[in-house]
Amino acid sequence: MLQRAATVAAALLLAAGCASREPVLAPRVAASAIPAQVELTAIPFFPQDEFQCGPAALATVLVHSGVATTPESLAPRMYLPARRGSLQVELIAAARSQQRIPYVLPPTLQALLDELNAGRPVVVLQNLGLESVPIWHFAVVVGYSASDETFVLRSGIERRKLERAPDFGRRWVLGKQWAMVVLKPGELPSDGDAARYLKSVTDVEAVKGAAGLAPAYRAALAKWPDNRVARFGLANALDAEGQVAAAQREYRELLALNPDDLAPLNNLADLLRRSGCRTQALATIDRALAVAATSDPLRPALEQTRSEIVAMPAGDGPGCGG
Amino acid sequence: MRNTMFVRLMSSMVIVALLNLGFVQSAIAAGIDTATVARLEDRTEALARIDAQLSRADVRDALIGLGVDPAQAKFRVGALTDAEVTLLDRELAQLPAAGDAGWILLVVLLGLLVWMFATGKLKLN
Repeated sequence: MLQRAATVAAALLLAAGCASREPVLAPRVAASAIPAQVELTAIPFFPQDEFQCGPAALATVLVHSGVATTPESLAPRMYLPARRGSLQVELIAAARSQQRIPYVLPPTLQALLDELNAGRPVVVLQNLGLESVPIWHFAVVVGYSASDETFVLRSGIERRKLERAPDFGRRWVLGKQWAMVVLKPGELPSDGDAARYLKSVTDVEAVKGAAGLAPAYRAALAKWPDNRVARFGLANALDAEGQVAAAQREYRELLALNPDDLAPLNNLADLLRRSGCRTQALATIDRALAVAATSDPLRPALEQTRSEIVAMPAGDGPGCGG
Repeated sequence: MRNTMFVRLMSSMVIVALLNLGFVQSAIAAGIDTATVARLEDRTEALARIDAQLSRADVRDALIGLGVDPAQAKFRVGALTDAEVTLLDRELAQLPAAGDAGWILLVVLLGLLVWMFATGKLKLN
């Protein structure tokens, strides 16, 4: 580590005289009608312990998002002792385990600025060293000033670190412009990328289950009303939360648009089975099996659902209707 | 992780054969989850899913090898998606682990300056 730092220090000394003075923020602010200056002053600050910038940065954005946590309690979820640091992937996973949706922004300055303007602090990956001799660091961007050409960060042991925009830009570009926010279920990111957002939500669902995610899918549907994945996710989340009638409505809504949609047919049949409605469940799954190709990847799931329905006792429970 | 290369090679043909079976494993029993439907349109994700079945144990062992408590390692692998597990299994050693050594850099930088003054390589006039 010392040898690496010495190499970088020497190189940075040599390079100090030729740092760029090109404005970064002013043209961006002028082009996109966002305020010239933003600073989220209420963002908490956790001065990092040795090598613990990951837990400190994540705690900063989680606490701002209403999660009661500390870097110390997050560290066992993400710190790699032998690497003396934390991976982006584990930062994301740790955020998921705190009932938040980690959302990796599109790698653009605009997306970063838009999130700050939406009031969300942004975790960024920076390379404080050189491309060939990297020194990786997580920091939290809490503001910028176009007139000063600076970014404001919670970083390391500095509560309010000002970085000149070209310096910030160079370090961030070397980190492949990686930036992440944490969203409460129901909050949408500022950019309009439905697929990117829904991927983040379904990743939470894949790891933690659908319960608690109904607001996240509902928010997506409010913005993208025709999105099939969002409506299917809403139905699954409602079902997982025990809102069976509401879940049924959403599955039927999907089937009204596309009567041969296998996944909602399967899940509706499964829901009907759990509600004791054998006749309807069987009719629903048979409709799916009638249209599913032999090679369809969902076919084994459909067959499994059918065998579970067939194993039900004969007769329908109360409230199953015709 | 490297010692599983042999298993990988052996498994690759089986994986292809079992593609459909492996893919729907999580869908069976409790309905089809949203991610599965989103994945259906993305073949690379589907492949990551199968690979992940083999990779979880490897990644857990790799985390333990990097000093993570075994119980925590199991929990941490469980918090990853299949695609993330596959990424770690393939590229853990190359991925950036951010820990910051800014203070070390500062100390070395100051030390270097002092040394340059002391040896006359840098002078104030």
